[in-house]
Amino acid sequence: MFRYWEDTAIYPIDPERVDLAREFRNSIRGPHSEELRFLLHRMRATQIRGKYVLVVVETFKMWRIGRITERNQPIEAVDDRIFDSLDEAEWAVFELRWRDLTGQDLNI
Amino acid sequence: MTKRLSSNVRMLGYCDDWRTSPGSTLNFKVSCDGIGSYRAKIGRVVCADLDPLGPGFRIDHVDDIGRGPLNGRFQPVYPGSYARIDDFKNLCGLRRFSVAALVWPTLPGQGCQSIMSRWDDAAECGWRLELNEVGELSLRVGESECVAGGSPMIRRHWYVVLAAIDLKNGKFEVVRRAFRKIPGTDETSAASGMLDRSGLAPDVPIPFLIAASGSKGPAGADRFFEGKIERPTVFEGVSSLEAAERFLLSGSRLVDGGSVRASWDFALQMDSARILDVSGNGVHGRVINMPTRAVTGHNWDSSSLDWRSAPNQYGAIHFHADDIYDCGWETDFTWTVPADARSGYYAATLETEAGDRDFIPFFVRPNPGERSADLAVIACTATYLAYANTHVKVDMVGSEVMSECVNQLSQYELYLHEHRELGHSTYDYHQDGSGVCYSSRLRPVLTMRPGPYTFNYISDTHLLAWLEHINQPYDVITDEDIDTRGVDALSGYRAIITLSHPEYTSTKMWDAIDSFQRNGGRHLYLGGNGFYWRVAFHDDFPGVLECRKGATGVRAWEGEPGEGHMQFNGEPGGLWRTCGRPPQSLVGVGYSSTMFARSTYFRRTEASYSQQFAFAFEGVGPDEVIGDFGRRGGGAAGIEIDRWDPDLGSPPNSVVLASSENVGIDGILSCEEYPIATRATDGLQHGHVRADMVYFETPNDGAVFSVGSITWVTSLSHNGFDNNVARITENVLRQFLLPRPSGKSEG
Repeated sequence: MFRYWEDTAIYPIDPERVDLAREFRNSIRGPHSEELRFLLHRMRATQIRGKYVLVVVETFKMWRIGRITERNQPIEAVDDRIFDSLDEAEWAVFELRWRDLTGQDLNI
Repeated sequence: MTKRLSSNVRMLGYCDDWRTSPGSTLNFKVSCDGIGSYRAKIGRVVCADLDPLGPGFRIDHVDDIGRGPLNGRFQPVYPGSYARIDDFKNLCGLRRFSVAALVWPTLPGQGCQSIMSRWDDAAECGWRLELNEVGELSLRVGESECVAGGSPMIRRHWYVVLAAIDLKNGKFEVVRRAFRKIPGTDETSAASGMLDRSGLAPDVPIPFLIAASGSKGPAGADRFFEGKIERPTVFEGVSSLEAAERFLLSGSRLVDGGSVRASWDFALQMDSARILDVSGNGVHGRVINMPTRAVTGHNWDSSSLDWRSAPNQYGAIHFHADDIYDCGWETDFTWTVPADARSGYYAATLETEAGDRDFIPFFVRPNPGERSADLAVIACTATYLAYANTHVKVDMVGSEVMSECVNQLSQYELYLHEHRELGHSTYDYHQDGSGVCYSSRLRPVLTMRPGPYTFNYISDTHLLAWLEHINQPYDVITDEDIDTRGVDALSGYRAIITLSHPEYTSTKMWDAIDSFQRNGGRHLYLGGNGFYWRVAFHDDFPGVLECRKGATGVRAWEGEPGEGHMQFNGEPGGLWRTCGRPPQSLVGVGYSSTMFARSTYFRRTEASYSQQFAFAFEGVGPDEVIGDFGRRGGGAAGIEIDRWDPDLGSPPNSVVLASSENVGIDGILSCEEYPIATRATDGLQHGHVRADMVYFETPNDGAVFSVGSITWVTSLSHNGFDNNVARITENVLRQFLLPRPSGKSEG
């Protein structure tokens, strides 16, 4: 029963490296430095239940942040924010993951 | 307090066969939740992409259904696979009997799971042999229960289980033994007791079920077993575990002493829905909702990987509570295709006054022998099926890792996550962790709807929009037509186009396309990662694709060892490459890499400047980069890209006309490309991470043009279809539609 890895990302995130967060803020779609790629992979490879997703509010126009629930359960909203830019939504998820993984708010 | 996000999907439908032809009638099945009425119309799909920067969403109106609104009604879905014994008279009237089987539970401890039963849920009478809520073997008879406690049963371990019921003396017992002793756990566990006679089953005709038990509701079955069951057997009289086990393991089809009332050998007619009783009593049955057959049994010893050569080691069936084959909905409206209807992608659009909308896709192809154009577009329904209702975004970590951005979920994906009864795709795994081998179109397929899930179906309609733009007549032929009719489905067309991602191919489809190409047919393969997985269809299971996966390829899940051969026809599944037919041997290029984060462009090779290929580049400057634009990642080379490789079968006369450039760090070498594990396998450092545009001639004036990229067709619409991707595609198409391509080399 071999499947894609569920929870194997181990690269530690250094909360002091806000320079990497700034790099992402300035270039959401990349290309990114190697260290930022490691950081992004760590964030993106978080386990599936509870993982952040962007729920389409209006196709190609508006999104909000949700979390993946167990099978057969509705997706849950994280907050009430509505984004009209995919890059802004992507950045907002980055901020949430920074806090989740470092225990610190990202204030830049 | 967390807020649950509603999908707001209240209306869904499908049709009985998404392939139809002029003169034929389609039956549409619709389920509405809180919708009283809706209107339905039929349209021909020109572009299903809602992207405002794409070709432009367009469905040309063809017909209205009815004069007024149609009544909406709710139609449920009943998932869960099991076996039903239709004629169970021989199993009635037994006063002292035993049931036994070999079982391999995959989710013990997660809900009550019946192994065998005759149970009337409304009257709460009958009996059920099952795993109880905590994974212990339990026998329920009427209101009495007997539980073999001790260590919980272990998932993915074989056990022999037995229940004996003695109504004459008011006793019952249950026992199980593990095949493999594990220190610290109970090898054997047993319990017995006296029956509470007040709850005994009257001898009413309660159906005999395997892997489920009767339910109160219209579903008819509940308490689905998760895992494998082998050789379920009913003995007359009270059997010991030892005697039962001897019989089950003997594999004997003849019984001694005549004490066996029924014994189902799942290794027989494994490629069907039938289960055969070998007791001689003819108590046969059938499986419901397509559990996985052709799976290894308790005695599989790895001496063979093919169920056909060692069927006695494949006597198990793997049942799942989330299997679904046919929703079985009633028909809500029909539509007869007019005799003069143009071939094409079609859809029924359902709309309510409140703004609900659904879209039921289907394909109108010409009747056999009534070709209406020189060009056939191959609707890759095998691929559409393989991805049908995929849950990878919500079930697989790798989905976001691969796409390198936070996943977007559309309303349909919210709905699918919450409503697993609509089934899964071949990219998903069942809730017990095993891979999904079958995908059916007899259910709403929500990955084929306008919306943010643009992969495959929606991207393919960019090509249709372009064909309309250049006023090019075409017929649509589906993968399933080719599987059914072979090369006859293609004969007569001068050229065929395969679309953005024709990834799934049956042997009949491969042979038909190969035969078409070798007999003068011309093939524009305008996709990436095509002809990759070997799959099968089955006449007895219309509308279902089977896909088995081995230990290589972009597989999402890996098939169990020994289960790589398909149930439908016994052929090995998995990659065509491992079956001796790399895609390069059919179309000159084969899947090499993924490139999801962004796409890139092509640059011409020196060889492309030969006069032989001038036709393809007419109107394209000699130094132009090709396709540095497009609606998927901004380039014509992207998502999944294929490379030319003579070692993998690219024909000796094939020529690379252009290759991708600037793939960079975003290109990732595919897993089957690793002979050893090393670094430096990204597109920045590894030369195999690329897309190649290839041309080659085939016998009898045939030819093949391949672009080796999923994002080629989604670059066609750039700048109002005025761009070099569209120009090259049209140049090659015009050439391929000539009676004899003028650019062909002599000899």
